[in-house]
Amino acid sequence: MGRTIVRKWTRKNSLGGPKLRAEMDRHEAEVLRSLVGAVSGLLTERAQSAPEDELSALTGLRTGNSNPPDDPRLARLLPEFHRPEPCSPDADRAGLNSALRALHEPEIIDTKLAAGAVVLETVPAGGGKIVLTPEQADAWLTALTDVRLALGTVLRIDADTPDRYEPDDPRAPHLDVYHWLTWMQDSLLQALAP
Amino acid sequence: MGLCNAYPAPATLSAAQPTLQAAQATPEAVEYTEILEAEDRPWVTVVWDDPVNLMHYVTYIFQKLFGYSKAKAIELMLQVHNEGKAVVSSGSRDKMEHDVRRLHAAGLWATMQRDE
Repeated sequence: MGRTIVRKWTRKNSLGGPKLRAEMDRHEAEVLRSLVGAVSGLLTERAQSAPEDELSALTGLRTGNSNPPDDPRLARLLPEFHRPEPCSPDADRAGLNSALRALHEPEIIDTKLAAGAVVLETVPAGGGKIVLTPEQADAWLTALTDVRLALGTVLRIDADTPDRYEPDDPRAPHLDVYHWLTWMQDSLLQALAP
Repeated sequence: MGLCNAYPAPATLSAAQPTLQAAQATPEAVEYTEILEAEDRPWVTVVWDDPVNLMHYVTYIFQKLFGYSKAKAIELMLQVHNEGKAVVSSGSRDKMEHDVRRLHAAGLWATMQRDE
């Protein structure tokens, strides 16, 4: 008879500082790695689509895309910076969003990619025990948020989304994955910052 | 295989939470700006309600990014939840760019605008 997998995150103090621990089975690990890999792939593609810029090449200052992403998942992960009040003097300053995006998007993408990389480094491909430092747990929270935002956009999650779709609904298994990610993020957060 | 277990859903920002409606945040969302240079706060950072982010996570991020007390962070989170948005910081345009960038990196829906 197999040992029970402890999926809930727990916090234990060790000589090397606090550690967050949980376990995943092979299937869960595969699903999580696949989702994180997919979101990182989208973000990497976005970063690579940034314009080549002679000035940036000279100064070393990176310039990101100036237009919002067409992909709705990326649009949610990389929203606009500026939202002027209607009729305010800033209302027609459409150029401000482009400038802010070009300036800040590369670093935002870097942070998200680094967070995803921490998950991929710490989830055993075949499932098993996961042990995180608080810093790694923070990266997990970021990566889990990004995956939930991307999946939530495709599933059109809103306040009225049911816990379950009808079993014959093609979205049903994906909603289960979304709820699993939500549960896991909440569990990790409860262990990290009760 | 644990994916299809029915996990109890933690509260997200936009989910109906009638028990929280009573705990209204104060409208003085910018009261803490006293710590900032009064003459250098023409911009504000606003966090908007969204249906995905967990209430606990949003509170955690407010504490982590801005150093707010748990009580202050919960108050701001509840304002986002109940009123659809909350001003979470104010200051110079550069400072607000920095705040929005970190909020976006954390997955929150934030924007900056000139203070009204």
